[in-house]
Amino acid sequence: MSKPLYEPKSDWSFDLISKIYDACEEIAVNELGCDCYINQLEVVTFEQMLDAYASIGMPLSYHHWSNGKAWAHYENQYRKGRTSLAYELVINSNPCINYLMEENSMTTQTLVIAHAAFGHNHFFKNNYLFKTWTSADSIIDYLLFAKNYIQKCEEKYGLDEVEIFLDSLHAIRNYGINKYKRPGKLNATVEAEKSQERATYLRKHVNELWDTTVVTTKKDTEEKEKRVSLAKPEENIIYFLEKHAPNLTDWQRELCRIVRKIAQYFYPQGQTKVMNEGFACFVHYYSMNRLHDKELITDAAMFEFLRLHTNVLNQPTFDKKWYNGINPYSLGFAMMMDIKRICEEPTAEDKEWFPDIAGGDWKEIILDAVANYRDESFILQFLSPKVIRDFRLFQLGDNKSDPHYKVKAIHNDQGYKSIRKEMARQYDYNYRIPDIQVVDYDHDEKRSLLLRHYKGPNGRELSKDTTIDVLNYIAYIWGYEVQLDVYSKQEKFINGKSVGEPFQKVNGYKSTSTDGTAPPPPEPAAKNFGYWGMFLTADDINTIDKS
Amino acid sequence: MTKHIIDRRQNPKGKNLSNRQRFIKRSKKHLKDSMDEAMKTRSVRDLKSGGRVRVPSKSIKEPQFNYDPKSGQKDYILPGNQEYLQGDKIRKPSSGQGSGGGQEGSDDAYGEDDFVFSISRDEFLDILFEDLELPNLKEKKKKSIEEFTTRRSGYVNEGSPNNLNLEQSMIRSIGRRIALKKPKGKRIKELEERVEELNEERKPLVAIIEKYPFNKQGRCKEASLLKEIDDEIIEIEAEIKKIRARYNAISFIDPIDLKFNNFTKVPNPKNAAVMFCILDVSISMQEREKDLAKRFFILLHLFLSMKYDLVEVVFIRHHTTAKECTEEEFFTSKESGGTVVSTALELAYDIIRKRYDLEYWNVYVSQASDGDNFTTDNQQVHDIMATKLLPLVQFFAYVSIVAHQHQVNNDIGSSVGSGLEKIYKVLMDIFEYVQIRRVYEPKDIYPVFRKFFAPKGDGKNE
Repeated sequence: MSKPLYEPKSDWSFDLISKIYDACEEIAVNELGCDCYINQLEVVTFEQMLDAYASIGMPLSYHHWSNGKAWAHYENQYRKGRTSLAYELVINSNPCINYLMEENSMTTQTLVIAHAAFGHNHFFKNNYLFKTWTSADSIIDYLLFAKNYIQKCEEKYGLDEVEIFLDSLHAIRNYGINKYKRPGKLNATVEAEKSQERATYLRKHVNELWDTTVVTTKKDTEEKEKRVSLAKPEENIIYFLEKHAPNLTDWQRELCRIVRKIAQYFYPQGQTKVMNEGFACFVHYYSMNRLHDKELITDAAMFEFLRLHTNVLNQPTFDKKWYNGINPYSLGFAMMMDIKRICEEPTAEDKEWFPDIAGGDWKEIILDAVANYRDESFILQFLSPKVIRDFRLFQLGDNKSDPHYKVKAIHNDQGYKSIRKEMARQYDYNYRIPDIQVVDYDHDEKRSLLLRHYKGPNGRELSKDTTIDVLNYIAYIWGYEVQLDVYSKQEKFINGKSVGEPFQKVNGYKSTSTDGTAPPPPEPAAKNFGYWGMFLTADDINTIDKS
Repeated sequence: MTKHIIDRRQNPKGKNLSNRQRFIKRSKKHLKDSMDEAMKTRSVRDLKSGGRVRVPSKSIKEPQFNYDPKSGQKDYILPGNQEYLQGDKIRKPSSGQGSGGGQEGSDDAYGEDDFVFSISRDEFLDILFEDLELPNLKEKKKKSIEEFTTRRSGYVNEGSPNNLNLEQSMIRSIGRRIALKKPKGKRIKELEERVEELNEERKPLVAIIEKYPFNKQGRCKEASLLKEIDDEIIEIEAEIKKIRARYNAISFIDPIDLKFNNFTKVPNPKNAAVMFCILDVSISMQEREKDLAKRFFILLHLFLSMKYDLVEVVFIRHHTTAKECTEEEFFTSKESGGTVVSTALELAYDIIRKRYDLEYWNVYVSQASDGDNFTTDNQQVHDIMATKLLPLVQFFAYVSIVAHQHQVNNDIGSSVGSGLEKIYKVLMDIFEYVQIRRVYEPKDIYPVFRKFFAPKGDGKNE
């Protein structure tokens, strides 16, 4: 048959990369049916990789100290040898930018091309969340616009002013997202023009908060109208502040926009980690095996690949010291492979659990899953008993008052559904990020802003110290005191009918700064990252894709 | 589907430089604390390189709304079940962490860990000497030493090939070619193509003439056409020849086009400082005292090197007599005997007079001693200082090494039987740039040093 494209020990070269790319493309596009953006493969040094890491995984980003911190962190880790850098980094843009590190061996490059340039690329282009929330065509332009705009602001208003404002916005960046309303497409030139327009418009119109002619005998109806005009309640806190904070200047409002637009761009990535990685791994695994079948890569390369593959997909068990949560690569890959298995060799169990896909066309079903699901729904739909058994998953209940953990379910017939449901819930965005909304503001002279947090049914509380810190940041933007009320569901039933307001206020926080002065840098608090409670670290919140 | 492969390795790195500067600025306060801590334990010699510093991670945290991990009722899904059955109860670890399974207990314990990262030497020194200033600074003329820097200065016609300036050379080449009307290669090509075309046209005509040699009418028409074509070919070929001759005569690039980058050496005026280190090496100065003195001198040298382009150091050691010596000798050799300080001061004065033109040099004198001096010498010391040495210098620092910790905080000049301190105390009132500090152990050095150079009114003599 054909001759291998490269010898096991050979270094990569541009020519080889090009050949391997074509071979991978043949497999991914013609055999698997991937549909990708045009690829742009960029060879970079490890320092450039670090740079990209530090700027939230984007080729360019505005200047902020937190990026410097991230850089110092990664560099330190890398130099110590604690982490190896990602083999690849891929950006959801059109053309799709893939970074290949120059240190990678040819086999690694092959893996990366199959994984990122086709797997992730297809996912970006076809998954409904990405299609809805991100505009791959214009993100790079928009980032450039943002970077230049912020740089100009720094020149005009001073580094410190801009920095503290960005800090404040970053503190609520999870709340700069519209979860339901779909955003318009980004366009850098239009954005720049709009920014001008907005500035002039705002100058022309007095903000209603400054309306000093308020008559105290105002009727309720007027009051109501006003509330409607402020569009409360609002889940997108940054959006609310941008539109209604009374003291902001034009550039500050523009910064609000920039931060929330970028947050919105990353919104899908956090919700599709398992699927995205799972699919990319599936594509690289399939492609490498096919390359080997066609004798385009040698046995030695195949062994090297398998070693890399198992490293990336390693899932330590919970009792290991280095256990760090469920590995999304591992789970995603196992589920994708299992779908293929169910289609090809369905067992009686599969037929019972997945009657509509057992024996079906696996390519079609996987591509359909990629297009129409996110982690939560994907797991709820496709986590099969076999995968649960293979992972030996079990469900552990933790009640604060109980000195014991309780094993609620294990991998048996009674347990599968419970485990699947709970697993899916943990990947739900709303489960991870506390539900906090703007509900109102005081019309009296305090002008304080009212936020409301709805406590979930499992009774988790906001962590106290960081909450006050964040409130202070919001107070800085709002200009006045900020209050956060915690509401919990306390339904009263009379004759089986729910009466009164189902939610009652149980707790409250207030910003310590009341006049909108710059908050002091946050003071010590226990470090915790409210992502999945306990299993993830700050790095995971970074929703960049790295393997 | 197309692809693009781009080599980005040549792109400038350090895209994150300004982010890094912002980060360092942000954590400066903590960096300083961290460095003060380091200064207590680190050997001063290490300070010449950068190093790893730690800042408390909480000082640079970015808060977000999040759940308190210890609250509420949660379910975990964990992999790797070995022995548990539904309904089993597992006692929570007693650490009070309240979280189950795996490593998160340990993770939290280290979670509070400090944020450690490396900084370069320059960043290190910047922070180390931040907001210190040189006291009593006088504007001196810049000293022009036999040192030159190379600077670019335009272009010249001759030079070595590695200095060839391609852009300038090509500009001239283009200009010359236009001026001399060098024909374009394209034109020749066009003409040649035309000839080929005509040759093609010629072929059928020739064929006809050969085929019907007797058809007079036809032959006549074709013959005249053929002649026309042949004439044109001859004409064009003549032109080609002419153009080609000119084309070949005027070269694409000519030696007269070449321009080379020119460099000239310019003298590099520098502001200069000389630093005198005066050390008492009499029997009373033991290893501890010398070590303290050395640390101080090295810090001072680093500091002056930051502020001045050129710093010279003069080492003077003394017991009953004074001697200028090398650095090696200065710190290592052992002497014995009593102490006559005035000899060292006298020597310093002589050296300044002889070697350092005050028009150019800033003079810094620092002396470290345990304070012993022959009582008979005290008047002498006072006189030399007041009349000779002090008027010449910018700064005089006296590091008084005391024998007991509690003495560090006592008033200068009080209690301790140190004769020198008393004399200098008197001088301090006259010359405001005389400063005295006490040290007892290495960790005192850096704070003392900072106090010496703290901006006026900030840390002067408590």
